[in-house]
Amino acid sequence: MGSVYTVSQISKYIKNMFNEDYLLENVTISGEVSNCKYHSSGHIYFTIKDKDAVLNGVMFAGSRGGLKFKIEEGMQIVVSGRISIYEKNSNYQIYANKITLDGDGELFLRFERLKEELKEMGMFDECYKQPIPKFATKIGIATASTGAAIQDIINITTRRNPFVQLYLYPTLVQGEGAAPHIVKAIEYLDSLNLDVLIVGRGGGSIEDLWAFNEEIVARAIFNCRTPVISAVGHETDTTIADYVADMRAPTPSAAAELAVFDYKLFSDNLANAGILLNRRMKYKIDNYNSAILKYESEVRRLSPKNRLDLKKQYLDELSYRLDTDMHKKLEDRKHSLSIFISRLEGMSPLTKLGKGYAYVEDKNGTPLKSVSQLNVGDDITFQLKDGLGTAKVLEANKIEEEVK
Amino acid sequence: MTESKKNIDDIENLSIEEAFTRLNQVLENMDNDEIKLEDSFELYNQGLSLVKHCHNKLDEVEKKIIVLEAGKDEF
Repeated sequence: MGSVYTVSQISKYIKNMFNEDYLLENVTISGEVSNCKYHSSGHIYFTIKDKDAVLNGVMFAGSRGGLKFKIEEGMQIVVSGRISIYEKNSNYQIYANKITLDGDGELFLRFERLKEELKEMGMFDECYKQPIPKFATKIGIATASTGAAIQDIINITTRRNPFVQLYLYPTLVQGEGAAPHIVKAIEYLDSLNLDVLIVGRGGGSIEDLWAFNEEIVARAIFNCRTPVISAVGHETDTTIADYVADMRAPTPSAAAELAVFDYKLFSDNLANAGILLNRRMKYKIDNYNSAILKYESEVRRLSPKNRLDLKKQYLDELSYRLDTDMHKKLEDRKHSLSIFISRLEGMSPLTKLGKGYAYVEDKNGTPLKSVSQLNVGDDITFQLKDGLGTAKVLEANKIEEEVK
Repeated sequence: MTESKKNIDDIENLSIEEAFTRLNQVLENMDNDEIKLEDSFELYNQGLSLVKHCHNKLDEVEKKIIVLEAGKDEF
């Protein structure tokens, strides 16, 4: 049987073993945070795990410079430090001097931090957003000359409005040097006095899109006098460039739809405006014309000439009536006269003469009405219808009335 | 210079957006029954000039994309 050690002794022994291990002296471990306590002393106690194991960790207040974010449960982190024994309970743990977010997490954090910073500076403020012109005819594009983005933009432009002039500044959109190159492209295109710029690229991983999360790119977009439409990746990708741009398009195709106005709609609208102009002018003139007609007839109606005409007409009517009345009266008289004439004719002695009667007078012209006026041998004159004759009275016999 | 002459001259410097805005104003004004006939002739002329200007503003020749040399050098 060997020596018997105290707990402290064995604990110290193990601690020495750990401390002499070269790997454990400075190790970097990735895992998910499952437990985390910020102690009032400034120390941070945490546990990281993967699916099979857990490891305790501590970051002392003096090492807090190696931590740029707040650790929260569920985060995927990368912890660097040394692994040693805490003698009091013989637990080994990692004494962290640097904790970073793992992979995407780290980029996400940088993204969030820059976003916050720029937002606080007011670079995303609505008041700096320039309106995108509705009828841009010169459009600058900063994207890769070989990417899908430029093809999409060309296709949509050709379809919507082939009369729009596109200017492509071929740009590195990912990898080393992409961000300064994008900045250069924006500045150059801005100097051309174009109507609007599209800055972007097609879809990719968060690393691929990273250039559009760089502060220099954000600043170049912010300082650009030409309105900028950002078009980075897909619908779900949002970059700093999107926040600072005057308008965010979910994709390069959508950016082209926003920047390039539909020529057919434009020309239809213009034609329509022409038609409306003509119609309203005609309507206006028609209105005036009918108003004039109305006033004209009103004026005619009220004019003294019109009243004079009316009086004249009345006079004519009266005179006509006078004429016809007069005429009628004359006719009546004529008629009555002819009646008298025919009656007179019936009563004329001459008529009687024609029927065998004769008018007899003595030689002095005294009409003979009785035989008592006759003396035998008197000359008498008798008148027939058509002439005079003379005769001698041979006899005169008075016919006694009532010979009884 | 008369008001109307000035208006017509102004049109030359309008962007298409501004021209469309003016065109809508002109149409709206013409719709107003209060407006004098003489003024509506004036508006009508302005409207026609605006329509023509919009067409002129857009050089209706098919464009090819211009690839800027400044960018090419970078590759």
